[in-house]
Amino acid sequence: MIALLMRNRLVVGLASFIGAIALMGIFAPWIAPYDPYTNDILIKFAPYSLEHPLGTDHLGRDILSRLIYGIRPTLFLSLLTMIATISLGAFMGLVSGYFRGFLDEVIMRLVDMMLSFPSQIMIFAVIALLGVDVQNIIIANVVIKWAWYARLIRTKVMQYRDRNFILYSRCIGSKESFILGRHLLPSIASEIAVLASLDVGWTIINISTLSFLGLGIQAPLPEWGAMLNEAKNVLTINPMQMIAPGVAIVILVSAFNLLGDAIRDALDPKEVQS
Amino acid sequence: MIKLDHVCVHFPKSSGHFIFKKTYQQILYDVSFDVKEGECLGILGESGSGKSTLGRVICSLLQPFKGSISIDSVELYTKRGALEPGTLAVVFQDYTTSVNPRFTVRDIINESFIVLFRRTGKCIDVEQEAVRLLKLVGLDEEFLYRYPHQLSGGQLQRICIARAIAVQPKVILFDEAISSLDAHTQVQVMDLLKDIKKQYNFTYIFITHDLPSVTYLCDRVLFLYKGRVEEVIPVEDMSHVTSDYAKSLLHSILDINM
Repeated sequence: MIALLMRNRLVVGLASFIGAIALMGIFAPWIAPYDPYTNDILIKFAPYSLEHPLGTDHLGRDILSRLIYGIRPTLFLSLLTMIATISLGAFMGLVSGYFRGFLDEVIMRLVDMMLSFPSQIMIFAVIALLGVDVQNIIIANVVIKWAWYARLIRTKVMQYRDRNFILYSRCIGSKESFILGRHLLPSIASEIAVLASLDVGWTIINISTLSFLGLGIQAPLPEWGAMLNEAKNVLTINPMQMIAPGVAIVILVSAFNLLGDAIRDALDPKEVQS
Repeated sequence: MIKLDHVCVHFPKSSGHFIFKKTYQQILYDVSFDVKEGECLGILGESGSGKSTLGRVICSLLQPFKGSISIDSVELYTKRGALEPGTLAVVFQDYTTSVNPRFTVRDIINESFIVLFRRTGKCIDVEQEAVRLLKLVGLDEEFLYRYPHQLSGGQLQRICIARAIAVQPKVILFDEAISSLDAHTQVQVMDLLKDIKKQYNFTYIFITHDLPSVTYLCDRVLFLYKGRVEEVIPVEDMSHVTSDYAKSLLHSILDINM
């Protein structure tokens, strides 16, 4: 699968673009020109210049540095959330799609229950219930979103469940863990990869939305959504402050969405045959 | 060895759902027969006669509605894991879907070895054993690291047979296993099956719609028609069939051969 992905130029390009952003986040203290917390009220609302490439905000903090430091919560939190969501969703989907029967009924009715609420509102409700905290954002996202993935993956598993190679395994009495882990999971791995990369984009927007509304990452921490929130307060005085974090979110989310589409194209079974 | 006792199978009809009552279509009616150890039983029937369903029942993939089935006096479908893993192996008609496309030939055969290991606890050198089995089915070791899409249909069906032998089962079920091969390959594979049977003393159940291959390979033949057993007769006595369906089937084939 990986070799197949490496052959696709779009996948490699987008993945390395996202990788570069991640590296910038990891090495932020060395890359960022200024400290993201030092404020200098004398140079507040500085326009774009060589000293401050993206200007400064209402407290005179360098926006570029804040943007670079902001990669950490934005990207890594959403990756973490995505991994947790997909693992839970994939596990539930596999179990309910493969074993069917009573277990399937229970899981699917639970999924129906989760899907009958509008997800954004549910996330607000969960955070309001648990309190504003980074870990609560992740919990809220996982609890609300796993149901989507459980249902999608269950459908996929049911397509493979009656393939002859699985029937053979069941017939000779292979262990269920072998069938699930070696046969089914690799068969649906490409689907999961597509879902995962699309999900990251969704989570980035979601975490940023929460931060923008003041329910997510809190004020001094540089996070793109929170930066937008701060910029909103001074929108009439300095509209330029909104552009940098806004564009950054759009670019990163589009990169993940494009990556999802590109992975799906690259792993298309019609191309696998060749 | 294998004993089926009044097996009935029915499926809920897709159409004709009432709110509280499902209607069923019966596939198998009161099927009873037994297979002796080391025997090859051919199950002959036209399409839709329920022979593949019968195969699935024997494979413990489909629980019958009524009746019982036992292999080596172990009752199937009573509780999970009653039957030792690897007692029965199966070769399917459609070789393209019967192996995992992401596995190499070695992995395909290795799955059977894992089951064998669980049953007997015997350690085996996977590479060496796999090559031996490949040679047995007329392939050589260069196939070991190939993927299924790099093999032809006949080669793949031989891999499926090798994989079934690798479990060292008591019974191998062939569900139209050679019907999708061309005539020349069919004869080759049947000769191969005969040899293997002599070597290992397997019991075969051979499901097919093809009369000549039954007469070539099997000891006894069972005629299945519309879900009912019409007649079970040794192959040598094939000319003395008594039931109407078997007669008409034989006549239709003999007419073509003339």
